[in-house]
Amino acid sequence: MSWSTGFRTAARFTWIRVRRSWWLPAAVAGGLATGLVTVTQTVAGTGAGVLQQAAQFLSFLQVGVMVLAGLAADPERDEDSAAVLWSWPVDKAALVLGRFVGVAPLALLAALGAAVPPAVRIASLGRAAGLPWGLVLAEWGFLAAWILSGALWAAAIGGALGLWFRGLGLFAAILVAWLAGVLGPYVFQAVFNPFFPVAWLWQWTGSGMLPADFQDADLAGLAEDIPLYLLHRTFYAAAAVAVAGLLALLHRRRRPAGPGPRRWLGVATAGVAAVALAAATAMATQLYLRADAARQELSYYAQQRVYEEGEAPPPDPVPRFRVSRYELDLDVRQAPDLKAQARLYLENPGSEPVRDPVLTLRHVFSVSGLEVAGEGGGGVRWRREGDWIHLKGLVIRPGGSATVTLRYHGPVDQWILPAGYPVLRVASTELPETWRGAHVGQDGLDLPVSYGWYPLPGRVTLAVPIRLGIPGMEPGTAGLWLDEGASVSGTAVVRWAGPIAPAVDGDPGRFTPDPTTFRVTVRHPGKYPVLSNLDTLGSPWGPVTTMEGTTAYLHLVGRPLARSVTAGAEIWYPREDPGSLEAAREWAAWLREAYAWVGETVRPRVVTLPPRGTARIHRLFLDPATGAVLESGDTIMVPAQAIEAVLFGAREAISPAEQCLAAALANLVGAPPADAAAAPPGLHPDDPCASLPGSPNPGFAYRWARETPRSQVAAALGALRRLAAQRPLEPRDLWEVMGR
Amino acid sequence: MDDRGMEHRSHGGPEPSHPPAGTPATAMPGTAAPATGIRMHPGPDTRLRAGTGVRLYLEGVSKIYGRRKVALEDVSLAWGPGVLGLLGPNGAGKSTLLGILATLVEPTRGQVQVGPWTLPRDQHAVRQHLGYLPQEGGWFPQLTVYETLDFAAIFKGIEDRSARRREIEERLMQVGLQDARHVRAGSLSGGMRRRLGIAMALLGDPALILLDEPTAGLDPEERVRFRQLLGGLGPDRLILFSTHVVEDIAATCQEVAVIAGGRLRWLGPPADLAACAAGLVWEVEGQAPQGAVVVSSRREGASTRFRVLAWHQPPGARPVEPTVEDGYVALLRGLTAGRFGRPARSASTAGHGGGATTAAPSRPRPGGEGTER
Repeated sequence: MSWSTGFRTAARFTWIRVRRSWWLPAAVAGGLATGLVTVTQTVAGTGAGVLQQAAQFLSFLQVGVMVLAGLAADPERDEDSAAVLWSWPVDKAALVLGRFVGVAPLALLAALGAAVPPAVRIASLGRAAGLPWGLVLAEWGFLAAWILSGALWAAAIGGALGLWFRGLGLFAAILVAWLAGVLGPYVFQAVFNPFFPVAWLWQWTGSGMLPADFQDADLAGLAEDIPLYLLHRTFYAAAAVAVAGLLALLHRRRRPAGPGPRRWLGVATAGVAAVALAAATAMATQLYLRADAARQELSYYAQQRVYEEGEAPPPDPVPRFRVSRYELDLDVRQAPDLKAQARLYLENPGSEPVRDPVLTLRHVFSVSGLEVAGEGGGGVRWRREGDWIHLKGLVIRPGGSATVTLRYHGPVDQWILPAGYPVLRVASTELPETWRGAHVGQDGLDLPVSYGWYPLPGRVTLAVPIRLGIPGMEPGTAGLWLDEGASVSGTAVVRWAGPIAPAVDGDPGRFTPDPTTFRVTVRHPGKYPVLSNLDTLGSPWGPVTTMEGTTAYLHLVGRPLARSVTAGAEIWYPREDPGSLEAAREWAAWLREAYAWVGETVRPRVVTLPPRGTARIHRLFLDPATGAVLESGDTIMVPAQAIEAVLFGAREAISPAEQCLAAALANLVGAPPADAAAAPPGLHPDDPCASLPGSPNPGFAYRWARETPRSQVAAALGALRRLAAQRPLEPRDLWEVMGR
Repeated sequence: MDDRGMEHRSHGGPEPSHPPAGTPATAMPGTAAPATGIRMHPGPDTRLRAGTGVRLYLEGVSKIYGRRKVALEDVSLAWGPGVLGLLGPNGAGKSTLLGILATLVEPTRGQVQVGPWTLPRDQHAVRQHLGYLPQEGGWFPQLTVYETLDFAAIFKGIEDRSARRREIEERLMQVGLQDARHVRAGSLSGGMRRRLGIAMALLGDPALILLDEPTAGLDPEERVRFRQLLGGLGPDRLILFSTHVVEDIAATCQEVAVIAGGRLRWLGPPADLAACAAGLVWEVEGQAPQGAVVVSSRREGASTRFRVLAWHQPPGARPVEPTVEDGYVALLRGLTAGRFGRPARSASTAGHGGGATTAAPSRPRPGGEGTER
């Protein structure tokens, strides 16, 4: 008898037995129960959320499949029945594998039962959000990849255990295997603190189907990186086959009679084990390199200064000069390298000469040339000090200017440790969670101003290391955490490129950055549009993109996005997320309306990035200077943000008059006309307008906003906006424009 | 010692040896390959010489489970072809011996040769000529009788569908399960399951048939049918079956091997086993005499007749002709010491001489492990 005949017959023979037993309805019922628990317990509002919720319950399905497969592998639990099988002249590998295949429909049916309810939920959520069927199918594909691979793996483990154990021994073995998978890694971690792939290895049986292997370390990372995700699945699939092969080998060796296992079985097992090892190594290496890159970045800043918990870092100094114009020529064709030539026009608006001005440029960039033109530029020497470039010898007299040209390059591939990092490196080998930071890649780029990727005026502290106690750990155990990212206002407007904004009169909220004119050229692979918050954008798809505009800070993003252009707005959004287009249209409408209330007309640009794979620092930027919004697809914007940002820019509404004005105008934008014109509500004593000095009555500002002709309100608000750009508004400023 | 019990019972087969190169390959006699469509696997391991039967050869075979549990100890035996019955108390080692021959158990020590094949090395070749009925089980509750036999036939190499059907029908008829072909095995009675197991063992017309207590659970009529079936399988096959039913041995076996305590105690024709008890068997009415071994008893009216073994005639007893059962009990109880048997002889020295049935029995001792009287 040929090998294939033996295999086919064993599979058919096993399947007939299985389908005539109670295991079949049990598998379907168990799977459906898991699926129903998943969808009834989920609070997810998106398809991806349902996937994550599904993952949490699949371990139950897995243990069920293990039990069923274990029973089905040798249903009679009778040694002599098995003896008949083994006494037949059929290749044992064909017999064992055929029986596995015969049992596999159990796992598949259980998996199908578990997959159907979440799949329906995913589809209903996706379709409600306007997701096309193609992308719903993709979500289903992910679900199937998780559930089916895990169920098959459970079937392999359960079936193998069923060949070895019977009765209570079988149940005990399955329980031990499952618990070892579910709890083992945590116990192991507690005792040995292992390198994280070791924990993964142990977790196969318990939650091999789960993407969040251990401490959610790779949930985000894997989900954002399809090759890494495929490696992860390959790892599990190959490991499953390798373990099954190993069990088959051991089983044959354990057999009391007969020759040893065939050579091909050993070779094949070694082969798939090598594949699993290679996939695990590649994946672990990739994830560990990310974490290590983040750790190195943290260490770099920690070597300079570490702030204790509760210790306030000093605010950055207000630059005594401004950059009136940037000319940036960027080349990102050799990802992750950024090559740049930056020309900066420095001006001294003050009354004192500026000596030895400082620029800020991330330390990862190497400056290959720096030239200074203008008065006194000939004798300038420059020196790097971390993120700062000192222009020694440069003096800019009051009202004077200088032109600085820098050529620099460096890799932009930032990873962030959002949960910090243990101080003692040797004490922990687990993988910390990593987030994507600024990066330049083949399929996109993220260059938030907070990364310091172009020379910024003044000493900007780009990152502040802070030592924090770790909750739940023994006293004295601390972790390092890097505070980085731009300082933004409550309306998501960047106030300062670093986390510690300069203080004005001791209040960082009063600081307002100076506007700068940018002219930027970006040379890129042309695989994605390069976008920014600047007004004018030429040839976004490249390969040479130009942009111009005036604003305080520049962000660059690049991602394959769809474009929707109307007379009122320019919207870039992920094609797979049509719901984001609707949100962007709404936001653009709010912005247009907010500008209209100050007598201006803009055509907002809203750029919505996919939530995965983009930098996670400050996922919403609103630029009141240009009417641009950059967001990462999972942020929320409210109408009041638009009007406040337009009125006060990067500054908070700090004075009582400004707070009253903001409150009075909050409902003007984005509300139905009937609501906007409604009579003011009774004011709460804490309302900022309730006790504003000079107010004729507590609801005066509200009534003024609603009852005054719109053109008058727009003129008044335009005047207030210009005034607010100079100083915080006083109550009298309000009464003046409101005609009290 | 008397040599009668150890007289050879040669059936003309040559001693185990690998066929010389160039020997024409033929199917095992009795397999009737052309008639049933059974495809015998080509290759040197599967060839048997024409006109020869399968011969079994054991030399010093022991099986020890774990460190201490001795299931078989130093069993040497040369036998075949023919029907050999295995008698012995529970736990004697009969199933272990059959398991070794069925390629399921590897002996701890000793040599095992079945026909031209050495175990465990040539287990695949042996399995191609093997029909095995385990002591229990051997059936699959979810499958019908026909499906069970169908799958078993495929696994035994009968791939042609029509040949398989003919074969299955023949086996069903042989075991009287024609009307139960569509009944699931889980619904069969114990005796019917046993018959199904026998039919499975006979599939493919194997040259080596190992039946572990095949008559357990069979009703008298089926037992008779089984004996006839066994008798009709032809002389060139090697059939070993274990049983507790001594009548089965007497009716079907050329020779019987008595195993006790893992050792081969006796090997010879059933008539010789009966002769072991000659002069020791008595029948007495009323009460069993003190010190005598009761073989059986039966009620006759108000009184009870006892069949007992004793060296001396008990009071009121009358001598009767010994049966195989008497001989078996006498052997196990050590009553034959000094009356029958012969010095142990190695299977290797005897077996290679001329196809004799040989064994190396232990000396019976009183109480089952006795000394000479």
